[in-house]
Amino acid sequence: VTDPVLRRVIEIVKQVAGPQRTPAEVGPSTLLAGGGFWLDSMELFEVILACEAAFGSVFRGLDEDAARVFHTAGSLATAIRARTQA
Amino acid sequence: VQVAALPPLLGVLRRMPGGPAKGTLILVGIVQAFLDGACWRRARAWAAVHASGPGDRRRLLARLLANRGRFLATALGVGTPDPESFRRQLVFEGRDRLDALVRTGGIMLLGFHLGPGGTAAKLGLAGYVVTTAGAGLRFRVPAPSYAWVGGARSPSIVWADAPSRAAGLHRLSELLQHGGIVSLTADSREDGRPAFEVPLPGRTLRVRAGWFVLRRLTGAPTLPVLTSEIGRRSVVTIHPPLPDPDPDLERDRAACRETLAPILREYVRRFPEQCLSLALWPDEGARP
Repeated sequence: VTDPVLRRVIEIVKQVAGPQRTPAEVGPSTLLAGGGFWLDSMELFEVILACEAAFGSVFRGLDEDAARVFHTAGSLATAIRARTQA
Repeated sequence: VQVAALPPLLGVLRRMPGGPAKGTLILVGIVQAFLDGACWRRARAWAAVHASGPGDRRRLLARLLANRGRFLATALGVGTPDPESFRRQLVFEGRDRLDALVRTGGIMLLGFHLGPGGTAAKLGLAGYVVTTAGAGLRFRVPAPSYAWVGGARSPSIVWADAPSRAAGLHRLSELLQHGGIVSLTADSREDGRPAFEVPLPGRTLRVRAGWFVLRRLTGAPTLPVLTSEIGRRSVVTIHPPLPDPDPDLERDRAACRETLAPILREYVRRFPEQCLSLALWPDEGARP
């Protein structure tokens, strides 16, 4: 993974999920919830807070987009990139 | 059946006078509980724990089951023609506790599925803007039967899955940090992570983690709020705030549990017929 935003997002998600739930191979298409890192709502909330600490307030008005943004590590990184550039 | 049948039933009820409409909802609630064997057994077990004798047990069972329809009617505005007539029935206990904190920053109101509910709408009628959050109603409500309650209702965040719940918690944290009042239930039936348990006579109440995490994150004063019906009065009781968050997670959990336990025990003792969630809902946490 060369993209710095995606690399940081993966670091954060790995930290929240812990080693036992981190898949052997992690990339942009790794699912954040079922079938990937298996994060629950509280852990996704932790990811939001950690991402805000790393990238600033990038999750304002997230309500409508939540399912799309939190689908995979790549979709989360894309959303953060779009919101930091906006 | 309940979820599918309620919208058409409410559509019919909204064309009826308030009293008979409310009576119909009460009757439907009793019959539905009777037909649902597991619900009926739970209700009888609850009544056996909280009644002082056989006659009292039957009375308690009848009042408990009648309250299903009564509380639903109240929540939907059935039998209550307008906000003003409902406002006249409202009594707030401990309102000074809320008023003392309103100007200091964000406040979290911690509710339970005990009593008639509708805390945010009731506080809305008293002039407070309270944002609610949760999974919302499981059935679609015909708008006209709901109109005045909807009008009195404050903003709400509805979540349906883990991502929307996480986004909702984030929105709530922003509201709290900007001085808003938010209302969350601590004992929802959603697949939430448990924070701790409060053993009560007849049932253990499983307290979810969402509000607890928000409280620790934002440091917002958290006021337990319980609602009850006493005669024709609809009472909203605002209790003193929980202790400030303790940096030690386990000590904090214990402090919240110790503060909430006597409040909940007293409510169950006074109003066993209004504890619908404890008496009638399946105890999912007790499954093997």
